[in-house]
Amino acid sequence: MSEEDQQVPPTEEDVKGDNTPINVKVVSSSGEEVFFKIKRSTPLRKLLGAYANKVGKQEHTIRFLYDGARVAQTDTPKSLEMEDNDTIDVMVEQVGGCSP
Amino acid sequence: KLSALKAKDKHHDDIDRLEPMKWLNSVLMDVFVSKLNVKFALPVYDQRVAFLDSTFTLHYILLATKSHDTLKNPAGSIRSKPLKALQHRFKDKGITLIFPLNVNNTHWLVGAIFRASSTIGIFDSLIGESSNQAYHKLAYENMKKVWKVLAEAWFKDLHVPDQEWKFVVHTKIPKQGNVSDCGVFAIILIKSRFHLHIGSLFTQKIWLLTVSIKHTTRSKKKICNSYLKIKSKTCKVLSPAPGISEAAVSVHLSDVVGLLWEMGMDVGEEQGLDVFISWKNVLYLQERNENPFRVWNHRRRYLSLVCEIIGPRVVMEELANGNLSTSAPIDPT
Repeated sequence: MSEEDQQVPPTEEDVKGDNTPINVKVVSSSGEEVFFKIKRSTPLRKLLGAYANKVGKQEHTIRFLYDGARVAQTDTPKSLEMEDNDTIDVMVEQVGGCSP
Repeated sequence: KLSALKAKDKHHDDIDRLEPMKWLNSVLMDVFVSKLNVKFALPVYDQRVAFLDSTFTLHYILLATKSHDTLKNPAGSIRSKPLKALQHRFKDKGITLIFPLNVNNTHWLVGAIFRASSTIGIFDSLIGESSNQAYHKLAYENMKKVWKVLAEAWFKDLHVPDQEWKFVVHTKIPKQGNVSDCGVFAIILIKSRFHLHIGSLFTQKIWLLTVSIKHTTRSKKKICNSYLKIKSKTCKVLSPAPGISEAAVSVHLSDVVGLLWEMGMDVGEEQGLDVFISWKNVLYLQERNENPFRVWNHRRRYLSLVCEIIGPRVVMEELANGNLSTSAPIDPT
């Protein structure tokens, strides 16, 4: 389990409005948690990029889920009505063909 | 078809998994499931059946990595988006929920909650091995728990006693007979069996999907007549809609019930059936003088069937859009 705060770099897209950063927990398939602080208006694809970087994987191999629904490229914490300390799940690839 | 797909998109090993002997993954299962969800959200299907995706089942049904409490808010309302999308369908309480289940990253099977008959069913193409019983039971217990969360959230005003469930592990289903095809069988099972519980409109019929408009209505009827032993007067050929190269032949279940028995499907206990077979496959088999319903044991048939169902164009579009697994059913209203 790694627990550390990661700051997603702010960009010009972080515009005015209710933009207080919230804490978001990204949980992998094996239960490992990575904590991020992210502004409400920052697109979650940036979080995905930061997370991919952190775990050493390519961005397109990772998919995020919030409340069981797929997070789209353009979603932001605001558009998903996320709250402080909410959890994002990393989608797991499952395969199957024969007996368990 | 596969090679054309791969040429378009070299980076996705998802498509490689459609090759013979490869195991299907959750992306492919979920594409299929989301397609069905869209279809069954249409009013014409009575909106009585809904499909959850493989991530939902990973979290809450088989591995159950998450507590069932995380499906709801502290106040008791439903939080999970895939479930929220079902709320309006829940009212008549006759809904059927379908779950593709993955065991230990090695096996696919299907679980289902049939509210109308108070049955929880397991459909496992590897059935017969005693080692399966443990995860069948686990899936059953967790499906009950998911239902309880839903019932508590949505039937609040009513007096809802703890539901009594019948637990049925279905045995008369097609078996895979190899160590690679359970994902394909799971898709076929979902496709062929769960239509039975959704009402009367499309039951009692088999639809033969056509991919070619080269054949005239008459020649299609002739093939049905001579080859499938279906009387041509009961065989209705639907014209393709403008711009769509697909047409369908519908036949009455009673005319092919014998063939279905040969496939190992216990039609008698159910009310109807809705099977999709590619017209092209029927023609191919006709040339080879094989019974189309017997080839269900051959992976190539299954896979081309899967391709037909998912639709290569759709797969490509979904891959391109990064949309491969929308789990929430789309509500047309």
